Amino acid sequence: MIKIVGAVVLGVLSANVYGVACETNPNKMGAHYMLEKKLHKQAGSEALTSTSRLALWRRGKEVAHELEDQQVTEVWNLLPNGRVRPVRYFDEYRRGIEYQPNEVEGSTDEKIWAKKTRLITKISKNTMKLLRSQGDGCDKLDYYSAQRKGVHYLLTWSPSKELPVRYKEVTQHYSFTATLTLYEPDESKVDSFFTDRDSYQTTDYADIGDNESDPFLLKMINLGFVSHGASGFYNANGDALESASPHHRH
Amino acid sequence: MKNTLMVSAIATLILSGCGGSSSDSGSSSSDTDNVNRSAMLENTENNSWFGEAKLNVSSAADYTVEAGSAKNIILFVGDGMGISTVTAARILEGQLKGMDGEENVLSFGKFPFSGLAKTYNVDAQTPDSAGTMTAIMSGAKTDVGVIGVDEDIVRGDCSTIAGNELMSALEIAEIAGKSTGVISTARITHATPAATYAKSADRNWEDVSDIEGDDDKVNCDVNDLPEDIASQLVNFESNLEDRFPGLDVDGLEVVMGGGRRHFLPKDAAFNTIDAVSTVEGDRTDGRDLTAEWQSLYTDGNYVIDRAGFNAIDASTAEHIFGLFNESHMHYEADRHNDIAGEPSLREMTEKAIDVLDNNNDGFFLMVESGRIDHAHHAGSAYSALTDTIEFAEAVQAAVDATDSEDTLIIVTADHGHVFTIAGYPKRGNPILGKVVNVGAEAPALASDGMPYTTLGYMNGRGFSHLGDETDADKGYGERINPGRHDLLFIDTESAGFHQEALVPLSSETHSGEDVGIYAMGPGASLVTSTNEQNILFHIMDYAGLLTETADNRLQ
Repeated sequence: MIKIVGAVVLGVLSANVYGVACETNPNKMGAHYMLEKKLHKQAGSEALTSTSRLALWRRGKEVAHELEDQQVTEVWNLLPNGRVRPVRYFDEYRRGIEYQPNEVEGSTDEKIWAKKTRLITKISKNTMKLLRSQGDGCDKLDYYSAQRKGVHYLLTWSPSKELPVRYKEVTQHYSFTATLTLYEPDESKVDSFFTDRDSYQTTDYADIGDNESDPFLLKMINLGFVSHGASGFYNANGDALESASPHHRH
Repeated sequence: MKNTLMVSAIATLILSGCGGSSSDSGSSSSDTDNVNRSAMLENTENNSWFGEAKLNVSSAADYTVEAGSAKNIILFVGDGMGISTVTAARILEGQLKGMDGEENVLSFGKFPFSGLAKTYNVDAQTPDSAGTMTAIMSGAKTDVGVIGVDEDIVRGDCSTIAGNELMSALEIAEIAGKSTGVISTARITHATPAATYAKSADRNWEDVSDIEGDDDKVNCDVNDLPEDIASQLVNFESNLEDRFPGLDVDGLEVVMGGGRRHFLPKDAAFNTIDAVSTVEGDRTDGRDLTAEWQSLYTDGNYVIDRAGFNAIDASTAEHIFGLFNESHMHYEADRHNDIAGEPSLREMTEKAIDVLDNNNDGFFLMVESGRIDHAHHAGSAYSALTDTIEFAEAVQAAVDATDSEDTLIIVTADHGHVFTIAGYPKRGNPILGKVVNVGAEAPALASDGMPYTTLGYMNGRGFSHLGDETDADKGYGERINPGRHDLLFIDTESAGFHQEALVPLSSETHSGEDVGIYAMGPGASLVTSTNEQNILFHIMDYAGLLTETADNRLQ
């Protein structure tokens, strides 16, 4: 198997890079993104830019969002009944919190699996206008655009990888850009990523209240940070896009 | 001074086999029996908690209770079912039946005797389930977070387990020849059910990976870790026999609950159709305890879903091992969402009694509603109360299936929660609703100008409104939202409404007040007044003549 880890940045992509990477399995891969949010200068406030990193990992019926700056990883697995079950790992502590399906907002939504694995749903993508395509076969890139409610959306999509290579939305007040910076086709590294998280000590969320003597869980009880991971940018249709700024969702 | 029950028992065997010590010392078989008896209860009898409570029960003649008059004993534990929970569930059940509600009586509210239990642990003013259930089951109060061991244990210290183990009423009943069973809607390795059969320096050591991964454990030999709780459940019979040489018991007849993950290897090949994780099992030692159980009990029924449960013929079943969920079973209101289907607590109770009552020597059964506690932790009164109502139905099923002449039924809680019934709502006001004062039709307004609910929490995650969501834990996906909110247009009676809380915490907490004890059947009159919680063991022991019968059997 050919293993290539390439820096893949939209706009400087070469067809050759994609030509090789395409030989990898899109269902077992990693993709690193740089997320950038810019608040434009306005009356009473200065311009502000924040960045964060998100890694997407796919392995069959498992998908992970690694929030590298926050050292938090969310892993979702697809159940036979179509639901998804989340586990949130705190990489700094090598601990995890297991949720039952339903326990995290959106986990019962059938679209959530598609959102987590593709970052942008087909529905969202299909509501955008295809401007042009470039390249063929594995090298093909599709360029989309949309304008809705004062927001201008731009998407560069790799059909072979089923991944956005670049996503941008711009309003009068802010812009948000997600850029693929590194594609990881090495399946052994994907396995290593998931296996490592799987080795963490985990606790059912329902059990946290009975374990207040555990320093890690006590910290969660007091600070409440466990239930509020950030997320990817899986919504291009204005229905759940998260900020790029490294904050917890409350 | 304290001796080790198990070590003493083994020492007895060793001594009796060393150079004819029996004849050398002049001891007779009755001496050996005495040693056995001493070995069995010495540790617990020398415990000060145990002794004081036993003394109280020794005055039983005043209550005209005949020792041993209870052939069967059923202990119901509503985890976290404090007094306010019982009251609110009573009202909700009544209102669901079309009554005003307040006049309603839960099944166990009709029991002729009741009392209070002081729930504190030896080292904690507000307790946890591990310490309280150990007190209930073994007759001695102990520390928070430990299972089946006394207060000399150091939590997480492997070296302090030996010598501090306590016998449980279920174990003694097993030795006495009774059939035995454990039921829980939580994981069957969770603290409350575990305290009936296991000894552990930490309640979280549910399988071997939990011990290996516990960074806080001390004095543990990584090559010889203590036996995890799940393994102790499957090895219950052999472990008990090892502790009492010559003893022959037939093991737990009924085990039903959740927690399959602690019994399966960490290998996706062992996943069941009901799995919610990519790899369902957690065990890192490669053991499949479900297979081990089936090889031990070839006449047994191992089931994981409702269909398997329904297929069990209770009239002929010898052993049942039901693990209906990877982790905890569902809240009663959310049970329909289980992948493979789960039985209700009432159904499990009925099935268990059908199996256990095949023994002419009687039975001991512990039934826990484990998720009342979890619903409160999540700040969901709806789920806590609907689980309590199902719990009451399970109690009624037990009453209906047994003879009050020979069956002692005790209903209690291990601890309460910071859950309140407040304001001055008028008679019949929906218990899950907003306070409407006497003579009024519109919700009363607080000094902040907003309506408020009758039910609320002192601490926890606070308000969230999730519509008809029946999984209380979904509230954990919402932000912590303490304090007051405008509830005017909120349906606070819906399943997904989570009550307001004052102090913001990620998980609502236990409370430290007394809990109720309700009893019927032989020995029930011993339940009165305000008691240390560990008295419950002694009431069951006295009414069932457990220890004496076990002693006789050991002889």
